[in-house]
Amino acid sequence: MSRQAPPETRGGRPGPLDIVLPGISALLARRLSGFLALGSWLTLLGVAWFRRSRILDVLAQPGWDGILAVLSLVVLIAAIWLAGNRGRWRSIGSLEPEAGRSPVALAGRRFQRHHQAVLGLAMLATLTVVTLLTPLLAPFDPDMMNLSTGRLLAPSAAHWMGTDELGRDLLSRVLYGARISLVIGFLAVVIAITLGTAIGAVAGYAGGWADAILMRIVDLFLSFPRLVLLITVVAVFQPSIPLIVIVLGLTGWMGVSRLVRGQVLSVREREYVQAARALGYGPGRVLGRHILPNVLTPVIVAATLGIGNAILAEAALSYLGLGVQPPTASWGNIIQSGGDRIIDAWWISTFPGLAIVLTVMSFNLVGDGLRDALDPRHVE
Amino acid sequence: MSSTRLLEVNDLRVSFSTDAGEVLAVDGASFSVGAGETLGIVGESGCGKSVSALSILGLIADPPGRVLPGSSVRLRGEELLTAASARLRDVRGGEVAMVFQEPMTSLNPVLRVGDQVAEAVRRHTELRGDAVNERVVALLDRVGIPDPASRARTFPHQLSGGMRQRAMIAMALAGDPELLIADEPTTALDVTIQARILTLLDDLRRERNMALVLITHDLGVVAQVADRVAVMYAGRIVEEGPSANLFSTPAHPYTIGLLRSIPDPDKPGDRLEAIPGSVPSPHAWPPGCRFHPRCTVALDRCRTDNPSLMQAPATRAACWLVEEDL
Repeated sequence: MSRQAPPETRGGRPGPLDIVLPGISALLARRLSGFLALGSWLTLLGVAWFRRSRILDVLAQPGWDGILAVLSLVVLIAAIWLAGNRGRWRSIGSLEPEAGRSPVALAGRRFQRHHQAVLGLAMLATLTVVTLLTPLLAPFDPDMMNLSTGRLLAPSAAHWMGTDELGRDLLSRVLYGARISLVIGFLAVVIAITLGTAIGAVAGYAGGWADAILMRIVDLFLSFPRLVLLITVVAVFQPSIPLIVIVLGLTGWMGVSRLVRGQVLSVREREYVQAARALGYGPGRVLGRHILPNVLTPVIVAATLGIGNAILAEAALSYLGLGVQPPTASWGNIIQSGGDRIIDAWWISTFPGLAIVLTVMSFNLVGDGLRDALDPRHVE
Repeated sequence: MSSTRLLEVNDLRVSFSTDAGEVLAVDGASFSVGAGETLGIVGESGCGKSVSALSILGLIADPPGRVLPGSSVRLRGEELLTAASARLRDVRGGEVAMVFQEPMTSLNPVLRVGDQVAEAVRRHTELRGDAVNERVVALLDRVGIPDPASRARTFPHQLSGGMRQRAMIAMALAGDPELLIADEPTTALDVTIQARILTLLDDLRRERNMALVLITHDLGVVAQVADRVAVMYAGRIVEEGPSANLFSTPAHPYTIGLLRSIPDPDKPGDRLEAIPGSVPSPHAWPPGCRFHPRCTVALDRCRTDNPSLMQAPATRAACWLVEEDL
């Protein structure tokens, strides 16, 4: 073949400075990745330094929450250092003949050219890191009340987002709320995607009776109004985070299964699927290894967009008082708690609202970018 | 035909249910292949060649397709049409392998070429671990892929059409089949590559004593490698015989017409002869001999009675004229 990429010219070789400042050589080579590596490295080191008393507290009185945060910090710092110095240990690997660039790698390069999507991804990455490090970052205990002097304080240097009617620090609550909202969104989508993919794949591949029955079940689920169902279920049982996750998951899979079924119907007629069957592979292998990997692209996009939707649904539910129950903070119930004070204490609802908007927007940007990057018809 | 033939297809009839009703795509095709022999199946698009080939391995999608009762496909005497699906899966890629027409789409785009060949090797041999990789490289090398060890690590989109077809052939060889069915293996390729792929298939057949069923619409391809030829028209086999005889003394008017329509390099500029009319639609096969509306020498009985294959001077042909002449 004629197209041979020059080996290892893209990342640039790390210089001696990279041992202390990972990514500096990439930065000097005017690469954005160097800026990102060095920036996040210094930020994380800053967190470690300015929050050292909090880290020591965690080590003195271990709780899984704090241990996880400290561990994440260490792992992240190590990962960025290794990333900045990668290539230093690559000399042996680069002697091997160039391996084929995978479709995934090609899609990754297309994604990088999609600037809004990269921005969205950066925001999500930041959000993920913040979520992991919340116990170290949050300035106050999110549940600590100050009823005498701290009620309804406007944003200030001490309380960046102000305080609520019970004198709790809003920034801390929004940070802890992020964990709840993201975890609920993520887990609900995992359930929805798994269920939807399995049902859609079986329906599309088996066809006939199985297909007809499964699709009628989809129609049945689709004809329930989601919010009303959610409200009913939560009203019957005690509202709890696992219940919300399960209900959101069980009411969110139908779109995915229709999507997957349609894709499987189209992919199973491709010649490579026929070739796989002609080689004597059984239905499980044909479906799992030769069809499903080729239908996953729209599923990934749907999952990304679905997390945004699940976060919105959780917020709506919490706003109605049927979601995450106080005192546990979630974005939805913080907004709800500030709802009747929107004029005199605007900050209570505004900041978690902004957090939802930014997060959902990031997921949508990434989803759109993925859709463009993964679409094989998308040719520049 | 003796019962020692490797593959015997008898009275194969395949129907498809369509919006316009039941359609017989193959209507009573019979042919056989001996061990190590090359059978060419020739015919126009839609005559039922590919459907016949897929039926052999039970690969007709049901629904909408259906192999009708009374049909028989026997591999070394073992009936495949009624075989258990587990047995059929062992046959596929094991004793009988298949190569498809479109090399650009018959490899899975998300898997490395070597992994796809390795999967076939693991499925049909006892080899495991490093032995699989060695076998993969050996197979890729044998089908003429240069630098096979590094090509094995590429993805299909990085290979040319000819290379992909070679990789497909390597996958088909993984189970060391006794019979290779090649469905239009060279149609999508450049003429120069076509010749090389054909030579490769012929060499492989010889060195492995593997039988080859070569399905094509290109008489030139058949003339190059086939021992025997079956000509299909409108779901039936109209003439069958040794390759040399069929090309020198064809008996069926359709075969004669086909051979006349090949351009003659000695007479450049001549208008090509064409068979008048076009292939009838499977929805409306004509009664009697299906070729009679286009046949210039049709008799009255051709319009009503369907001829079966009969002994002609050098071949066997399904034509009433053969009987008249005898």
